[in-house]
Amino acid sequence: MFRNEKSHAVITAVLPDASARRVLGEIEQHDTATALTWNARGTLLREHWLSRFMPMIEPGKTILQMIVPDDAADDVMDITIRTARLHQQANGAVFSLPSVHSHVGSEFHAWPVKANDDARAPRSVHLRDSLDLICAIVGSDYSERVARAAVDAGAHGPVVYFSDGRGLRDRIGWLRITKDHQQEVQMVLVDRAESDNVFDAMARAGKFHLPGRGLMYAMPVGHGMVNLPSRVSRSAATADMQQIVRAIDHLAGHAQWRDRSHVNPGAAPTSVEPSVAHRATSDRVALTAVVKDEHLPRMTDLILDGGAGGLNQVNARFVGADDLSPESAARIHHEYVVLRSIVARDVAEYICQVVHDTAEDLGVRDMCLLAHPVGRLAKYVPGAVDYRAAAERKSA
Amino acid sequence: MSADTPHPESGPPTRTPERLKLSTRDTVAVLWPYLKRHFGAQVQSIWFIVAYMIAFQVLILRLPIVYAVTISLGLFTVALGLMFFMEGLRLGLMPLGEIIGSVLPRAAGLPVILVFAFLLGVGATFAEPAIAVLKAAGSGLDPNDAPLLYSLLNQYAGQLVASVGVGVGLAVLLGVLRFFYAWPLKYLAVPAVGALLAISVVYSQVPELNDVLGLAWDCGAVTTGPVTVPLVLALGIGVCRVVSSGSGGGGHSGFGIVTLASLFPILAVLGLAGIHYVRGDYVNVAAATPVTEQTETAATTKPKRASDPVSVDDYAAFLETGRVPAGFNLVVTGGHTELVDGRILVSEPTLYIEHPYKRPFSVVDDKGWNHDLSMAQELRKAAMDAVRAIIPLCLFLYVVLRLLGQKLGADSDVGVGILFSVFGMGLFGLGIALGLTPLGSQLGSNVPLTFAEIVPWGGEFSEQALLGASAGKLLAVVFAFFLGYGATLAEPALNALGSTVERITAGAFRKKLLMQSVAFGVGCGISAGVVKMAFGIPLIKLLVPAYALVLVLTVRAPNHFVNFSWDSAGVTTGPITVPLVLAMGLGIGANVPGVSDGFGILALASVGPILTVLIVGLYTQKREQQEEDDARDDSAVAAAKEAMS
Repeated sequence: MFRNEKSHAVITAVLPDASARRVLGEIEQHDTATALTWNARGTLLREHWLSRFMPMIEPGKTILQMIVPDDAADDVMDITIRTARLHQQANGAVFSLPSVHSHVGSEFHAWPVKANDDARAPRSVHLRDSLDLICAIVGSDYSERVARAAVDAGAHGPVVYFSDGRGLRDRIGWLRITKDHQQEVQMVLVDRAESDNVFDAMARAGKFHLPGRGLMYAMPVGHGMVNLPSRVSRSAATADMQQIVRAIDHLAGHAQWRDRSHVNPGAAPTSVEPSVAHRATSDRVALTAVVKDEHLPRMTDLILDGGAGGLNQVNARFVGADDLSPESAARIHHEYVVLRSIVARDVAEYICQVVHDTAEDLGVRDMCLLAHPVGRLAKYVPGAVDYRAAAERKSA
Repeated sequence: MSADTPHPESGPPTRTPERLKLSTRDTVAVLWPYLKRHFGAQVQSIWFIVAYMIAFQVLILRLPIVYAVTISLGLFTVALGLMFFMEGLRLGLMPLGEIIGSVLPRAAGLPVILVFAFLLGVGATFAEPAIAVLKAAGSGLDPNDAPLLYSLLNQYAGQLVASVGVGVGLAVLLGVLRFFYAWPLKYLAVPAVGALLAISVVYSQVPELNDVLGLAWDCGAVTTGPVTVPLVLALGIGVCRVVSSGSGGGGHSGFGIVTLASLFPILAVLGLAGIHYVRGDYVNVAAATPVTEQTETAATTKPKRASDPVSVDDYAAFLETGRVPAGFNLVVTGGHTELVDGRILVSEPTLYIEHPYKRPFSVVDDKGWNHDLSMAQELRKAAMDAVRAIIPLCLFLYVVLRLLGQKLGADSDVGVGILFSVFGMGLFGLGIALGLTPLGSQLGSNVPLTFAEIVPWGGEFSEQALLGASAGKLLAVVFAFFLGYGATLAEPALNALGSTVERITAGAFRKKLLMQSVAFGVGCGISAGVVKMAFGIPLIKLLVPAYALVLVLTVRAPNHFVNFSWDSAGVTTGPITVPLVLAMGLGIGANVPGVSDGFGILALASVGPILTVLIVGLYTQKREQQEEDDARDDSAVAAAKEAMS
């Protein structure tokens, strides 16, 4: 019932609303191709005292997520990049996350497995394969602080979307109404050479070592392309850190200089070359489940019972080619929920097994479970005082 | 406080494997920060308007606050009620609306959806009838002056509500249909407003119909209440969660129904007025019922001025010097007056010498508690209103949900939420009756003191005007701005809209920005309304240019801003703003000759926010365009560099 013979990757695209529509239109040309979408925003930091009173309107973004077999990943990326013109400045980002486990239900609208991939079209764009994805789940009170730290450390302005937390507070009866809704997930894509710096800066700003502040994790990205802007409403600074870094990259013709400037005198110079397998030796994985709305309570309970400490829930809609309404030109979509939890690898395997078995018993075929390697993690650990003790450094 | 709120645990939780048992201490530890946070948020939203009103009354008008104890209790109740109501919206009403919205398109065909939308609109109007508000606005009305308006409000009140209901129903229907065909809101709003303006201009030529204009435009502003708006908003968002149309050019979908729901009732009321005018079956002057005694007595009795008794010592001093001492007034009455040799000769007058009364200044009046107020009665009224506004609609929605074959899960908070919203709305209504209305109406009726001599609210003797006519009216206009600004920030429906906009745009459009620009707009609108009343400008002369400007901006503004700004116009006039503004309007109207009713201010108050939010939208669009151009320049430079290297 579950197709897990082929490994699947998750391709995520962060696009401005207009080009997201174009990409969706392009994707719908492919017969069974589908994408999960939800709303996000870019970040605009407010420097001027006046703009603190009158907050600026931040650029709206749409996140598209496509679950594709590994060998189709490049094609999908190519379509996205071409349609959304991602190689141009400030047009968005696309990246793929390789998975270590993938259970894709037989009725889940994943992309079809390609029969033969020998006729590969030559790629017109160059993808970077030395990226890290950093995700920070924070309450909205602290979000601006974390975003500012990220930008100051040289990253682009984080892409933010809202999510619900699931876990302990769901188990306390009617008191669950006290749950603080609308946690922000801040997503930053950075070069691996800068990943630790940015991660530390964000973790420090968000004080993730304290209880109730959320958590933060970094994941190695398969490959991707980032052209996200980070606008700062500050007239004094006409270029942000990322633009300056990029300009120097361009002038120098390589990104090696960044590695050298990284204050790390004792260590041997690390290569900028990627080594996903090497980095992915962490014993934590990010477990992602995409389930239909109606199966949500059941699956949430299963995953939480299986040993996940908490879940992060994002409501998305599924855009497919077969949703046309009979009466009008409108499309009627299915609603899905993306659940994510950071768990130990063995726990993840156990959860996958339990969910797999239960889904087969219940005949739920329209869901998928993926596990991605996690590089670093910062969260509150009871007893630990400093976030550095809690953060798991597994790099090299 | 909410620990004693009953919670609906319908049967044992079946799916949740284990429920954590919390000790009382843990329960308190979980609840306390929650209550603190939400109560604090409500205090934050109402403190400005309360502090402002008290400061204006005490510091500028220098009048004491009457019924201070009752008012304080009422204000506390308002904050408490708002806390429960807003949580109820978040947990109960809005999720219910969203669930139905997202289930309907899959489970039912388009005709069924449209029938449902129409019924919901009609039901919402009957749940929150605004007729009481409109009657209050027309309370000083003389049937001889405005016969058609008078009979619409009394004889045909039922028809008035029905026509508004049909208007709202049609609006929700069209609003939902819009999502399926991706019509931009512009295409619906611009023709509707154009038609409204044209009809209004025609009506303004006929005296009877001219009177109705204020009522009609106010109907649009008043119909959308604190229960209707979130529910209808949630429905739209739910529909748009699953429906998207090919072109997707409709901007941020889910919004826009509220807009139509505030435009169509105007059209319906104008139509109703037109029908009755043509049939001529309204109260005409001959058959007019005798004018209510209240207005007559109010007109005839002239308020007396208080005076201090002149003491024996002062009298002795006067006898000795023969001069009027400083600070005393010489009043001349009676006698025979004629003009002789360029001088006024008054023969055989009666002369009084009196000491003008100086009221000792105090912050709080002696009357701390309003003894006329029957707590039980107010409580019953507030509870009834809350139950009537929420329960039938929710029952209707629940029945529809069950008909569609959906169930609310055992772990759904909708039940708790609806309980919260009924409880909260009851408390909120009670608090308004106890606190906000007395405070607002005493201040509102005292505001004309800036330019006219009046008897202060709850006082016995008249007071001198603070300033001259023009300066005083100007002060009243400035006062009105901040009154509108503060009251709007406290409005629950606007708070709900703000949070929804923030949630839907993932925080790109902040609640604070929306609230501030809307509040600013309402402030401007209410100031314009006061200008209209104080200087006796016809409503049409203010309404037409304002809406014409709105139309121009609407055509130019980006689509999603059109949605937000028009929607915010519909939500601005709610249970907090209306009593305050009406009290002020009636107070000013009573002191300006020729102005009889308080209509029109609310209509102007809902144009204001459309204008401000559209302007904010155009401004950011311009900036974004600029930055995009910059970015394009950058990439062009980069490309050039690449070509060179």
